[in-house]
Amino acid sequence: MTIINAVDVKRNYGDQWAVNGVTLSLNKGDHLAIKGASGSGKSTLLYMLGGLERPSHGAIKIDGLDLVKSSDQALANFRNQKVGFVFQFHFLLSTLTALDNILMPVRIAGLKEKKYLAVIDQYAERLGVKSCLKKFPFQLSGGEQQRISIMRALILSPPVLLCDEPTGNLDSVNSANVIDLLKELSKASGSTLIVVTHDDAVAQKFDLRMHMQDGKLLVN
Amino acid sequence: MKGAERSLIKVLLLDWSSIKFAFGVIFGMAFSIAVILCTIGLMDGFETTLKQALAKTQGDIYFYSKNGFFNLNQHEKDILNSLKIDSYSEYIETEAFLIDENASQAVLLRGINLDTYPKVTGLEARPQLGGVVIGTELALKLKVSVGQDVVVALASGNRNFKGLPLIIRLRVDGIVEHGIYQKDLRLMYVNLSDLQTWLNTENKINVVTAKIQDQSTEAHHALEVDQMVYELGDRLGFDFRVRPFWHEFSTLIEAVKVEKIMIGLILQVIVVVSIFNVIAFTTFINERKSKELFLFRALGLSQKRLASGWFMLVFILWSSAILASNVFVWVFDWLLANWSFLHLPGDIYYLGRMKLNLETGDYLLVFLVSLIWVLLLASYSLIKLSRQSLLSGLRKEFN
Repeated sequence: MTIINAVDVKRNYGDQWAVNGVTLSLNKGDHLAIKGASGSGKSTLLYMLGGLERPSHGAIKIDGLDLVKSSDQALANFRNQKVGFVFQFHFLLSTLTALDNILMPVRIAGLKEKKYLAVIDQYAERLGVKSCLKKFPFQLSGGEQQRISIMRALILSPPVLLCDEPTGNLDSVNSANVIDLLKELSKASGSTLIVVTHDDAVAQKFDLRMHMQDGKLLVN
Repeated sequence: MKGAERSLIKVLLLDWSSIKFAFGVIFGMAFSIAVILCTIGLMDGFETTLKQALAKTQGDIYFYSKNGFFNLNQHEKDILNSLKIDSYSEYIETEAFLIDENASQAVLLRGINLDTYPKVTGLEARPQLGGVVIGTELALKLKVSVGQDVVVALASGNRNFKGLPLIIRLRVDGIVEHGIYQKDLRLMYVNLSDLQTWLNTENKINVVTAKIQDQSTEAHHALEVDQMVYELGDRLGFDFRVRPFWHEFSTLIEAVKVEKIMIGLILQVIVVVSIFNVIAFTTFINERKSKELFLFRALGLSQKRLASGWFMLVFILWSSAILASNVFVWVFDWLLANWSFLHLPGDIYYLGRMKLNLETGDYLLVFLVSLIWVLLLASYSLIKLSRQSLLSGLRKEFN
């Protein structure tokens, strides 16, 4: 079942084409790694797939929603419930505890927090961060912060999980752990996983790999 | 407020530097609002206190004949009874000298009817035959108290030695406070029949004061009085002059009104200064917390809800400033009433002490204008923020 369908997607900033005619189709549960050098356009493509940026040209449909024609409100709902983001720098809110950070998508969706506390407990147990939930981000290590941000991305069980250099700040052992974890969790929840990376070792862990160069997506 | 907006406000506001800045902004805004309120309150308070004090000496309206002493005849009494006049009192007012050990003091001697005058003016002055009631400032100046004697010289009336003043020794029966320095220094009350005898006016009087039937507010009361002055003047005809109680100080009251407008305009400078603080704060939050703002949006907070959280934050600042400004106003009012440093020289300002007179409308006007300013500035910051794309915002802030 096709969940991501992007056709001839382009995005320019002035004269420069960050993404130049990308066509991509992924099924539910696919795991894809997009590798590319810095400035190749891979993050721009990821953010367009996540509804953070609108393309200049082309069409993107995810889980039946046309991201190009959708209203801002529809896109906000889409980002909240259909996509989970994992960023390189974790992007945790420093004045909130780890638990509050994880609950943020639930609060934005206006759902009852109580219902998700058991899920969080399970994830925290699984990821080994149970003791971190009441701590603030500055009290956590880089690896713990990244696991908290993964929990935040997965809390509403989104059908698509988008990760922008999720291991960029981690050593090789932690990197491998995080990738294994992402694959395992997305497999368990049936999410489609896209990981953008410049690290060959990370990309090698995926069966489905693509390469981004000068704004174009090339199959490895 | 939903959980996400609450979290947003918590994230934006709850760190030490933001809290310190917010306190500064709240204090600045509260101070500006309080200064404006106090100025309006002082001006209105001056006018109100002056009018109240004048009403205490004069009733609501008074009239006198162009021909001097007169008898209030039945026709005139019928006119007064036919109008919305609650009560009236006839009295004589004449100039006199109060003779002290060292110097004499010019005074206004009023011969009043003990039954009707207190009813009309609310002033508890009840001089018995051979007695006098004087103002507080005069008592202070002469260093006399109730039971002691004072000597008054009337310009004419000595029947034994024509051309010489009539000198009378009077017992102080009471000391009253009008609330106006000049009145407290100059007005003396004697029994009407005493003064009529001394002046040999038989039962004639030269002024009638009246209180109108009106239970309305202060501002409306002035209109009622004005209306009555017009009606009574019309009915009494050309021989009488009818005046409102504030007539004596009407120029001053007009001047205070003009001054209020001018000072109000000048005080806009203070508002502008406090607005700079608000601009600085919203810019500070916008710049310092844009990472968090973009993240909230990335996680699915819509522009509309971000705006509602943003305005909620600004509203919290504004309402805190409003509360603080009320405290400032209250403190200033208390200081005005109790702190000797804020006593006014009564001989210059007529009133020895000022008080704030602020009505709901004054508060609403000042609060509303400040809210409009704050919301406009908050909108400006929000528009600036929303113009930046999510991706560029996230990249700028996190890379």
